[in-house]
Amino acid sequence: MKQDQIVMERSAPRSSKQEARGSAIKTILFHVHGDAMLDARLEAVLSIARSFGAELRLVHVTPTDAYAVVDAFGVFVNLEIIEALDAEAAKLRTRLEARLADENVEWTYEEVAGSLMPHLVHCASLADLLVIGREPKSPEFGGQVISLLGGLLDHVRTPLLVLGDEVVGLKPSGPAVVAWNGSHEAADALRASVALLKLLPGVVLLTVEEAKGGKTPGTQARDYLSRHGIDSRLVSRPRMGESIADDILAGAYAEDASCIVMGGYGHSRAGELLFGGVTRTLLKGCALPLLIAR
Amino acid sequence: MRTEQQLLMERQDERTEAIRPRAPGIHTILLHILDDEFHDQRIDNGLALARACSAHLSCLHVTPFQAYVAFDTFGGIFVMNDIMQALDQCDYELRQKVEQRLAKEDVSWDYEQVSGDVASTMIGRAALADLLVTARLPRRADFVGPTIGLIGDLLQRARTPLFIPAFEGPSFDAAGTAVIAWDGSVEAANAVRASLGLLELAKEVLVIEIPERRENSPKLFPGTKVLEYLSRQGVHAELTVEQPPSGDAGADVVADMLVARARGAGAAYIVMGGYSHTRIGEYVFGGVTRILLTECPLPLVIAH
Repeated sequence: MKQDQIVMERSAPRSSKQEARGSAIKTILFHVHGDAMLDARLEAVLSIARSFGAELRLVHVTPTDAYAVVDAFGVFVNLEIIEALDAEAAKLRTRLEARLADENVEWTYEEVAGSLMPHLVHCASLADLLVIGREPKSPEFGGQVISLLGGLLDHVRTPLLVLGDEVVGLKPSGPAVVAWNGSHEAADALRASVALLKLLPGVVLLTVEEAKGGKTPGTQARDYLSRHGIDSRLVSRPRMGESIADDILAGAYAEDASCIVMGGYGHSRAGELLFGGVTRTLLKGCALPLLIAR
Repeated sequence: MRTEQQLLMERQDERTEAIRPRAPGIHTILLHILDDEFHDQRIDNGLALARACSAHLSCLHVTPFQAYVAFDTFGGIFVMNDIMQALDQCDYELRQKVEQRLAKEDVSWDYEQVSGDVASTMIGRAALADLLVTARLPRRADFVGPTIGLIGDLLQRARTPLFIPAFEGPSFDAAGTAVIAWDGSVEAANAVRASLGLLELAKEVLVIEIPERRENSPKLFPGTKVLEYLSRQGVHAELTVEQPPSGDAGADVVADMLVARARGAGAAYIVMGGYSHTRIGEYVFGGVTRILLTECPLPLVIAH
């Protein structure tokens, strides 16, 4: 009896180590934003960190620059507001650190005062995955979702996982559905997300018919993935819904997807980052997690 | 006895796990085929990389359409048939030569011949490659060679890391010492992440940090952050921080120190970020990168 017990105990850590060893996602950056969805997001990202064997870096930014008023005489900062913000940040930190104390995931918590975007961009460069939520449009936090994400994506090469509005985290049994239209952006998205795709149970390259035909055939994408040891399927759907975004979402549901993967960016002549219509729609709202990679 | 067997199985598993690399790795290499003086050396490098990474070598030759299209002063476009035929013949002979060479190798490969704009075509193909092997030809004025201008285009528009072979020297050794030129920038960090597939194969990884004079210094990562990141990926590296002699050095001093240190360590290649600001002209690069692109005697792995 005792021998059996010893054998069982040793097996458990070995299998979780095996999973973790195959993972190339070792550093996950999570943006802490104190809104209603935070707890659900934290659970989701903890689950991801656990199964990938990654270290979780939580970053909370107090956007003090949103409260600095600049006029001809200098910069004025309303001290009371700053103090209130700092107090809120401290409370949030205490609560989260207590929640994380018993987790068997390695984590660090960083509290920063300043501008959100540059800091996230900076931290993300040495991270393998950046996880954020689709934060509610909130004037006091200085901006809308799309402009924040736009700014991030312009500079960040790290894949960005925007947790879903309804299905917050990654379903363990669902494949990744890659929105594939043969374009350069789609190919870039595929290559940039390989590390994550390897860890998911499967990959579906989903093409919505009548979407812009690109130059790279799906078969070439499949070959590329298979050299990385990733099996994938090519699936085609007709244009049926109100928009291509709807069709992609419908396709994702049909495949019981864990997430939708896309690149979907372009540059205007002025060099500004512009989102293609489909990406823009999904960035504004998507029930499933969205992986943006470029 | 069961307990012993269990232990034995565990130990064997751990050994094989330790050998298997973790990062996605380099499995598709795009090799730029160009019939210049460095043609053979480029193929040698491509083959060495493909063997070391067990990767597929995708050869691409682009015939720039400008070569056989002429524009007259009135805006007419002529396609010169004789030139086209001659070029087709050249392309065909080149292809034969390369395919014969590759047929003898035990590497998986394919060859594609395309007419078009060199940069755009390469950028398009590079999207589904893990590494792009191209060359640098210093100060070449015509549009055909892989000039710094092309490399600049590739860096800015393609996301795939570039491998730029040295002008001469021993054949590339993936298992040699890798040097990471670290300046704490976001671009350098991206370069490190992009080259993990190669770094894993190196017997030794050295991070060399040389503080450089900068006008607008963006927030910098200390070298220790790279070490942490790499170690989580199973790559163990060492950090050296070198102070320039006068304490405030320009790009040329930093470049010299970097190359000296790398050669001293017997480095097989140097990993670095591209440039930090938007290119405003063809040949504008961040100082150290530009110097190394024109003069460095070692292979470079650059990403942006």
